[in-house]
Amino acid sequence: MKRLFLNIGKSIAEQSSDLGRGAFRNLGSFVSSIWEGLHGPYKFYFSEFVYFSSSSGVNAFGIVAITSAVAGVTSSYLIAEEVRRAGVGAEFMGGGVTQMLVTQLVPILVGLVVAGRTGSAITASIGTMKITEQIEALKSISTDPIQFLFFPRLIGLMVALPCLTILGCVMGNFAGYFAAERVLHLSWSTWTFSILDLFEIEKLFHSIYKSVIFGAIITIVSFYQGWTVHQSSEELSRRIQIGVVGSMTFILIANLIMTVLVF
Amino acid sequence: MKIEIKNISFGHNLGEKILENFNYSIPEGVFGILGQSGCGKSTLLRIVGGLLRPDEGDVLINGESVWKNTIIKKKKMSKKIGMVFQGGALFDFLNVEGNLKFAMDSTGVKKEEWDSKIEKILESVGLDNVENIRKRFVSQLSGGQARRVGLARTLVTSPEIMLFDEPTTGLDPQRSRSIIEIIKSSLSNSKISIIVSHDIAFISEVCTQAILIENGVVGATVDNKNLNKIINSKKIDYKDENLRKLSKFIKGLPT
Repeated sequence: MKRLFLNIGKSIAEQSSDLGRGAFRNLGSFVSSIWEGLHGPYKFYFSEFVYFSSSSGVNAFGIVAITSAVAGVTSSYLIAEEVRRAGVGAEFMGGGVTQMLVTQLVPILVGLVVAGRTGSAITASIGTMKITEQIEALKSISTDPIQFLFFPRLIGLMVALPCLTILGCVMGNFAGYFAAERVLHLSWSTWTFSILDLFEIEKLFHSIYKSVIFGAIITIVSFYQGWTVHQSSEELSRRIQIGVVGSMTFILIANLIMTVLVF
Repeated sequence: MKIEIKNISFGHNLGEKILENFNYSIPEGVFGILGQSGCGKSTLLRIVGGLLRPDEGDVLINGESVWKNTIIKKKKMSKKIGMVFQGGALFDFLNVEGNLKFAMDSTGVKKEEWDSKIEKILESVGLDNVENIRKRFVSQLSGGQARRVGLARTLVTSPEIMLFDEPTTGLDPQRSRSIIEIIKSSLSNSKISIIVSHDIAFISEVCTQAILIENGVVGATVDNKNLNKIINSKKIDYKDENLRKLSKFIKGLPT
């Protein structure tokens, strides 16, 4: 299988331009490293996973709470203004705002925030390890760098992102209520009953599934960018930018596909 | 034990080959690799050590393939090989003790031996105040100390094959000398040691055999006796092509 990937990479590379050749070579080397990491005596570095998931989750807590709260207040305020002008629909506010936050706004915002924050940190740390030969040093002491560096980060972010998304949904919802209360003097019970009436719980699960996929996208794109850094710190800064922009772009594309085709 | 390098070709960019159809057999002992900057010395060392996949060819260690073996066997084989990197390549997320423990854990050294081994190995690489040093992080070490710890991290795993990538480059003569002495005293622990260095005096002091890499292939081979002869003589026009090429290389003339 590994040979197959290498041969495919090699044959495509031979047909491509210099730029394309480099990219296919990098991709081939990354895929074959992942393949090797999935084989042999497998060791799961649990402490790395705990450290990474908790640090990426806890450290992003503040920015995710603020972003989600702002999204909740803004969307709720705009809808509440329209409801006030029309004079009808206040009883649907809670459900409507929650639906919008949970299905689209919060998972995307959390994904984009974490792509910028944690994704850049992944590229920077892996790229620095590459430049300072620490990745080769890992191999030289019989440690599979993919098992040690990639899988704990991948699973860590696939766990941390749904947690942050749930937190974001809660924060956005509370913030949304406060905006509605300010504009429409809506009671907490009206808001809550509206959510219970209109909001479908499976939408929350869809949002969690999405954030798991976003977590995987951020780790794979950012790790790949760090992994394929060669020798210069200038290249590293460029890779960090590409990693962040790439993660964000893939998150938006994946969200579009999942919204239209899956959920 | 024997290392056979078979038809190795490698280029960082496609179409450009650093090593081309490289063949050589390395016997037990201490082996030196010489050559100009960028000729592929370190690349060859990484290919032998299983760190860099060649475009073509293979490396056999005692007849067992490094690059065409199953992943499980390859991983098992990597425990036999240790590499000392130019700058130490210490893990900056761990302190000195953590670096050594990580290496011992990865290579299967028994946990009860860790503490005594750390103490012993740090002293053997010439680090003073071991109790203080073992708690330091990489950023708190000088360049020379980082190299010694890097050397200790490899020695602590007792590999059968030791690879040294320019271990003295960038050090002042005094520090360089002390690193050479430590390496000399550690060479007997492994069956094969391969040293890549620009320091010809160092190569002639420790290596039983050396090669000169030129245009991606073996340009010349020499044993210790002849290497010392070339270093100590002003003569260039040897009849033997190997000696002539090495003599010119050592004297900085085009080969």
